[in-house]
Amino acid sequence: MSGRGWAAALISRVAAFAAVVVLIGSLPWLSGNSPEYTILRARYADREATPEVLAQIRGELGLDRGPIAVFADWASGVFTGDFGTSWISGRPVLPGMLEALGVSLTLMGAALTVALCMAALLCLPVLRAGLAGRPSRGSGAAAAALTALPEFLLAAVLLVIVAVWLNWLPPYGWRGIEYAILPALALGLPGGGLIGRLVATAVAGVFTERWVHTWAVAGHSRARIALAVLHRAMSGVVGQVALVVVGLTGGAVAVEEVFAVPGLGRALLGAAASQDIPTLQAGVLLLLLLAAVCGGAAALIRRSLLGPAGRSGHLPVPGPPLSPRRTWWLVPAISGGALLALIVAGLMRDPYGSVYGRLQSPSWALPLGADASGRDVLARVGHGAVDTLGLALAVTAACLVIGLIIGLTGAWSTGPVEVTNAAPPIIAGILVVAISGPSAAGAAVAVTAVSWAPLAAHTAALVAEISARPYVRSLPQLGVSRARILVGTVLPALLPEVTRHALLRLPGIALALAALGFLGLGPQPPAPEWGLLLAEGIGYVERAPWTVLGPACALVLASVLAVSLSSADGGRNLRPASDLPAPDAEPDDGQKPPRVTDGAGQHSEALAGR
Amino acid sequence: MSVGAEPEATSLRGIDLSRTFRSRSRVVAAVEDVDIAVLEGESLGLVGPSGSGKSTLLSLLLGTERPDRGEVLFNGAPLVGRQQLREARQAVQFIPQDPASSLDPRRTVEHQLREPLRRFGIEGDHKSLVQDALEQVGLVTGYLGRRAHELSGGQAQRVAMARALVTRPRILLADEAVSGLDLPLRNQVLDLLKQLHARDGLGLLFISHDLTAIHQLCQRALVFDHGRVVEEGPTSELFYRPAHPTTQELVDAIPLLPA
Ligand SMILES: Nc1ncnc2c1ncn2[C@@H]1O[C@H](COP(=O)(O)OP(=O)(O)OP(=O)(O)O)[C@@H](O)[C@H]1O
Ligand SMILES: [Mg+2]
Repeated sequence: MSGRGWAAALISRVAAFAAVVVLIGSLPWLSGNSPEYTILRARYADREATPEVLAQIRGELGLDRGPIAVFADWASGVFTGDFGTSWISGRPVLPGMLEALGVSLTLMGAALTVALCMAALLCLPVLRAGLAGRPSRGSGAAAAALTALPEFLLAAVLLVIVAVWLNWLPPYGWRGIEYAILPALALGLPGGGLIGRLVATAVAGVFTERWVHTWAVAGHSRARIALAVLHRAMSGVVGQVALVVVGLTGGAVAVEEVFAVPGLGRALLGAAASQDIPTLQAGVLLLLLLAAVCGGAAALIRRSLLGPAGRSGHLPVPGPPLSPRRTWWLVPAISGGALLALIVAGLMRDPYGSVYGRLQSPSWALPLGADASGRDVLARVGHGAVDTLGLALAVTAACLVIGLIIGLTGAWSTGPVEVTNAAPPIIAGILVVAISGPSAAGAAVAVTAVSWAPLAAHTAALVAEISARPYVRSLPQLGVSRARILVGTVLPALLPEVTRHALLRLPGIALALAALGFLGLGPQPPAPEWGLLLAEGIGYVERAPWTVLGPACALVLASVLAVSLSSADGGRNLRPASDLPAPDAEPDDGQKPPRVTDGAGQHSEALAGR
Repeated sequence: MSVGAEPEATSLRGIDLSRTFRSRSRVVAAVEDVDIAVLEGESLGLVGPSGSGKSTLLSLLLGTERPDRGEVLFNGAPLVGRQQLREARQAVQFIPQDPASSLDPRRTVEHQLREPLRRFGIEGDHKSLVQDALEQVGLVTGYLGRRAHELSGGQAQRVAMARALVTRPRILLADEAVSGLDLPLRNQVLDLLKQLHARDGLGLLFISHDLTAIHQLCQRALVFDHGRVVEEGPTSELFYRPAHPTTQELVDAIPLLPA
């Protein structure tokens, strides 16, 4: 990469990070009129909301001095370790948040253990098949799909089955080791499934390389070969694994909420709901630090795995992925078909009328029963699909446009893409709610704000590749300007591929929206949104399990569809974040542009030569 | 250009050009301390073994590759800045070494030939200009609507040539412009270039492995090896009395047909 590209990437990283910090710091100002009411309600319940009182509170907070002063106050406080006082309780926010962080870190540590066990289970068959000389991508999409349920859904299902029906473990609280088991499973299994699939794909790819065969013929032991293959596969995916770990912070919010674990995520959610902005600022900043530490650790691990040859751009790009199985379409077709049937059946019924008995049990006339207000669950699930999927479609389109525009800026997109990749939709949702209150539009904005990044990264990689093609390189000589080349030639050439990628992300985006709805950060009752339906039903799960069965089924089908579609694509477009090489992963001199594949950067010379 | 004054002859000069490629383990000095002048009305040949840096020199002259040292002068002024680049690009065209891949697979031949006419704002009936340019290179009918994959290698090469010529450049840089053509076509293309040179004073830099072609077309030639000019002179002498071993090797390798 040219010196200019490096500089651009560095500047854009710094700028993106600064933008996020400024955003957090100016939250009190961004949240508009509401702070004075929040404080009035919480602290001076006896006083009237007269203009004088409101103005006095605004003055106390310094809000009338504009966003810059608000930010400066906050930033100077943070530098001296003062994160302000809670608007609700009036006490300093930092001690409570640190305590909550401790709980969250414990939970995430337990979840990471679960995740690594799960990942090992998924990789073992692939490793074994490879050592036996039959490299295969291993476990089918169905097995992977089960492990890739969104955390909030898995948490709800575990709560219902293990804690409520089987009564094996306590459902709520945080008072001993047994309280951590279910949350750790709910948080760790999806991440573990994802890590397992990433590593398994990389391992299978490494086994197809020639040096493995050479080593086997040369008589190296199976254990040594296995270690070398793992070492080599890990170096390619460690960055993505780090993103999965960072993504745990988002999942932790949902899991802590479901199991009433007093961690950072739950504190954040509470702060967003009560508009306690100082608490929110401290929490989000701590999460950002956590993400930065994870990212830094991943970079260090990657460096030590690769040795000195591992500088960006020196990794050859992987060859063609193992061809998908002939029946790859089976799982998406079945789950998509079932989902469609559910939706069509529900669409023909009335979702709002309370015409049935309260929690009436299922019957032929009422296949999925009625909810707590006597409304038809099947109808609500069907209509909810229109809400959830329609919104998801709009979000996908917006992400496509934003991703294309930002991706076309090439190296300048590095910083925003990295920062956005590290931000889970739930955290974005909390920020949006803090600013403007919960709404469907707010949820859409939050998910859009973090979901364009993989598309931008893909676009940037394709721009680098296409710009290096001879017919594009010869255009300046014909008098075609840079801007015209980008818009007239490069953009049309990459549009089909990026659009396809965006469509593959549609179900994942729908799930993110449902997660926000479930946490009360999205559409409000009586909207029949899937996440909201699940949240409404979960209180009655003991007496009327059908209230969660309908929405849970729809969500499970959607996640199976999402995961199987993404693995049909060679594992290229996995759920949480960009799996594509960063835009700066470009070999010297730009002669051989990076081909966009699943990013499992491979490095046979480095390993084989050692 | 002031009215009435005799227009100055277009010139493209490389002064002391060097370009080194560095990658992990290798350092390749592709072009080292090369002085070269391509002038309107003159024709210059460039020969040299494969990998000696000929194409790199061409990219330097075109400004698509930056030199590490030295500079490129167009009409005596350094080739930097937007306006200067634009003027130079209109006056200097080139035929790339791999013409098929220099055509956009998504666009028709006609579109690609009109593009430079439009971008340089050239007046006149573009359709007939395009047709004339294609006819010049022997592509008579039925090529306007085709795309790159519907062309043979030699046809693509001639489309690339027509695209370079359609704007009536003053200087043409041709990298292996006849290498993919059969003998009759090769001769037709050489005749065309010779005619453009003789009639319109088109300046030529003609890179080829084909010494016979260079001999037919060029008054002078440079011999290139390992990024340096190792010998230079009128083609009539250079190929009959080669002094440098590289030149001797190239000349000796010309296949002789049995009498
Ligand atoms: N972008 C690049 N990066 C690294 N090395 C390069 C690059 N371009 C060219 N080279 C090297 O520079 C040298 C000169 O290459 P160049 O293409 O100029 O040769 P050439 O004389 O045109 O050869 P040919 O007759 O085969 O076309 C070669 O050794 C080549 O490997
Ligand atoms: Mg060449």
